Amino acid sequence: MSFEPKILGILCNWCSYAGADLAGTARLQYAPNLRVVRVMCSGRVDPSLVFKAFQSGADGVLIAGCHPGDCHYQSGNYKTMRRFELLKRTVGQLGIEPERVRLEWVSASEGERWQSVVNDMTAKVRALGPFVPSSRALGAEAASAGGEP
Amino acid sequence: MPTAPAAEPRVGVYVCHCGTNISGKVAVEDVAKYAASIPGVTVARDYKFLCSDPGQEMIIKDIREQKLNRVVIASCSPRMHEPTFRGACFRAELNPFLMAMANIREHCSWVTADSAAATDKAKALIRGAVARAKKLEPLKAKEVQVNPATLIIGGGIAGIQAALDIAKAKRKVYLVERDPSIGGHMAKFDKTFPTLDCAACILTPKMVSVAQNKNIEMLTYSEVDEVSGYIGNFKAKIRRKTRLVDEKKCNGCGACWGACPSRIVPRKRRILIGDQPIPVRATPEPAGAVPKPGVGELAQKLRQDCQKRIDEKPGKHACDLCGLCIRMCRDVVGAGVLGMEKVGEGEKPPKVIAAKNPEKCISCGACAQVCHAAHIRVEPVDGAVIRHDELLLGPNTAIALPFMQAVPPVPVIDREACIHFKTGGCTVCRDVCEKQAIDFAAVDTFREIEFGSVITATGFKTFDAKRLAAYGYGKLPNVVTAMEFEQLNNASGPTGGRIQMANGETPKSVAILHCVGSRDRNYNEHCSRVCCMMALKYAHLVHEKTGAEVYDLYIDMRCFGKGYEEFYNRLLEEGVFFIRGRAGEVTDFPIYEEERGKLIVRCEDTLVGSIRRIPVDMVVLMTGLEPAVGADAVQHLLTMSRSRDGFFLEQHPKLAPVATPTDGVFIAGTCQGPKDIPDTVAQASAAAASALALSILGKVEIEPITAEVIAEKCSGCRLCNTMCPFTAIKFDEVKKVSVINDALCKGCGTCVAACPSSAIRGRHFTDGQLIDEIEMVCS
Repeated sequence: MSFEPKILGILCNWCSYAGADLAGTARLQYAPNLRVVRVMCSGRVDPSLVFKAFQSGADGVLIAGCHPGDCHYQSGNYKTMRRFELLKRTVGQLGIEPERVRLEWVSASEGERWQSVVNDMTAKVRALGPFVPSSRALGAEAASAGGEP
Repeated sequence: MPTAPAAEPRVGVYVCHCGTNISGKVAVEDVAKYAASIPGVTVARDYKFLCSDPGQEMIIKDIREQKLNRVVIASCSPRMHEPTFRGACFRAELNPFLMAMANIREHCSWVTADSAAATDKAKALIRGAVARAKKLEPLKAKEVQVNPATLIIGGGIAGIQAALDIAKAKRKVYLVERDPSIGGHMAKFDKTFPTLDCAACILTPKMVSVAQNKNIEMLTYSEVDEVSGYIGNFKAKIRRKTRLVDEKKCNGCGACWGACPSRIVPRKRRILIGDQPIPVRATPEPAGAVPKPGVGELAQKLRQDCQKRIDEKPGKHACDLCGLCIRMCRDVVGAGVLGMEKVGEGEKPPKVIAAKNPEKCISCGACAQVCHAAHIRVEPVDGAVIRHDELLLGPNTAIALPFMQAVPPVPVIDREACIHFKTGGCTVCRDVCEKQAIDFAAVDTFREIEFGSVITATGFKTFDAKRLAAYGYGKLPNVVTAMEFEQLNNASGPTGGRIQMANGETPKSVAILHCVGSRDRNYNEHCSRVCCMMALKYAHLVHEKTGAEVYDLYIDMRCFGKGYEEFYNRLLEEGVFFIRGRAGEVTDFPIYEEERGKLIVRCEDTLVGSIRRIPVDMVVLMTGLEPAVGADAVQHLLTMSRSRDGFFLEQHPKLAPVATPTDGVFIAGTCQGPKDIPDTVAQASAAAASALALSILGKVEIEPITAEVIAEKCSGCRLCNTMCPFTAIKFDEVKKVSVINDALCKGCGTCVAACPSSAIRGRHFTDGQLIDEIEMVCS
């Protein structure tokens, strides 16, 4: 059987989650590999959430928020944008291919864009193959992230 | 800080069939069986429609009998039914925030082709939701007071209707309008379809009611610069652009525009002395004039003098060197272009009026106004009698009303056209204003207002027909847009409602082209809804007023409203030529003799099945509707979303058409999507009712999803302080920790993610809740 990746999507409530809802309402078919966790704003995405996903068996993580300028909280997505650059560098240092993490802007009206983002991400992670947590550093990082009440 | 109940979690999982919407793809019985095996789950059931009364009753019964302390609903999007199921929990005396949802419809059954994959995905999402539910904490919704006032952005018919409805309930309304007058597009309409009653007759009484209503504060010629706050408690900064005329002093007498020597149109014009044109300069040399006292009186005296001479000797005749033009140009305008020039020798040489300083001429045309001999004239550079894109409904002066029924009847000085701002001289309007309302140095002022809800009614703009080059708009005279044709038709317009071509003649044949910039993937995919009926209205008016042949080129005739189909049938009987086919091109290049001097509309007549060339005198482009200029700025001010067509996105396309994702912000009229006047008015009343519901209750519950700093963990690094876009985080200098103001926090969680010590908890989205959910979703 061919490899089917598991991908985590962390979506902001206002734009991307609504955009994914719209893809549903429009019955746009896409790969079933991505599972969504909702947050209020992409600015809520703590890098430790991403590490936790990889530790728990994800092969890729997609963060999706409002387009720059459209943030429901004015500027949360700009913070996400800045953090994401650091995150990409950090995952590389932890032995995770940077292509396994991705940041996309999907608005509430972009159902078709959501469909293509998920399909594209699934295809790319599938091509990368399963994520094998070989790095020592990842284990340590994710364990400390899980310690909160 | 709310503590989790000490008891072991007892989770009830409910899997909805949603008819066959979910069960058609997801094996719901199997999923429910699987859910029952997840540790901590006490009961798991599947049900046809969980949102139905019996569905909710089932959940309530389980919560009571099985002593459930957590509920997971696997159904549609939480954006749809979260309030429904929170309500069910509340009725069962379970804290509503102890309920989690798994979106197995929009994110699963509807988007997955393979049944087994959909079932697997549903299981994973439920696993995640159960893990999240176990970590949920009871929260208490915050109740806040609601400021009873409403801000309405946009003073078109939607804004006017909403304002009047709210004011009727004796609640305060701030009506902010960008233009000098309220009325919007409707004020520019002549007739309205299908009844053909005059727009002004039905609109102006409403406009006047707005002005007279004590509960409505009109802020015209103003823009919303900033908005802050949240439902019930908004604040805004309004920029009151200066008209250079004091709204409080002006009584709309009209003395100023009656006296103004400057003209706005034709925009491209030149001055002719005899037959000698003064060369037009893009940037005339500054005259450096200073306002002289008494120019108002002087200008009036010169005009009277001129009138007297006309009465004595009417008609065009030779220049008699009266010199009024020189005095006008030198003493009133301040440009000093004109003078006497000797054209011969001798003691008393013959003289003529000439442009001595042509580089200073601003083509204002003041000289021509006082030339009783019509020796000096102003003419458009292209020689057109009518320029369809320059039709004014108000006075053709630099200080003017946008149209004569403007509310408030306070003029605005157009700095681009005003002589004072070009030469430094001319203060005629200021001098003639008895109320002393005019101040050339006035600047924009700002006003802070507070309100509890917002109605956005920013309307539309029409498609720029220049983008569709094949129809020749902007290049071919007599190709006009729908709004231009409306103004041409308008009884209070410059032609008095006569339909005229650029050369002033009445057209003998007119083609009306539907769907210009609508239903066209190259421009706008959406249907603009009103243009078919508007086209029929024009077809009728052209027929009635001119007797011309009318060709109406349509894709589909969409006459959907009350009395609309009947109107179409009436037009069929009136003898309009309806051609089913979109026009491909409008050209002035003739092939046949009868096409010479005409506009040729090339199209495919799809009912006949042939390509046709239709020679006509005039072409009306039914330009489609697009979101208004500045819609993006309003979107960002109020953190709204827009749908793919660019119009504001409603909370639900069918069931919440006037609400938006931002609580307390409503939308009405064409800013939500193209619609006609009846639909706009209906939606405006609906938005008014929604705003009133808030202000009459006087309080509203808001989501308790906010962040809190755990003081013992906070190191006082202040990293979060700058993160917050709402300045909700302050540093406590005594305790040396950061503190979050719960009233200002909107719960985005950006600070939570930023805190290096994990000292900030984001309620309802805690690290623990998210990490457990992620772990189970990914496993």
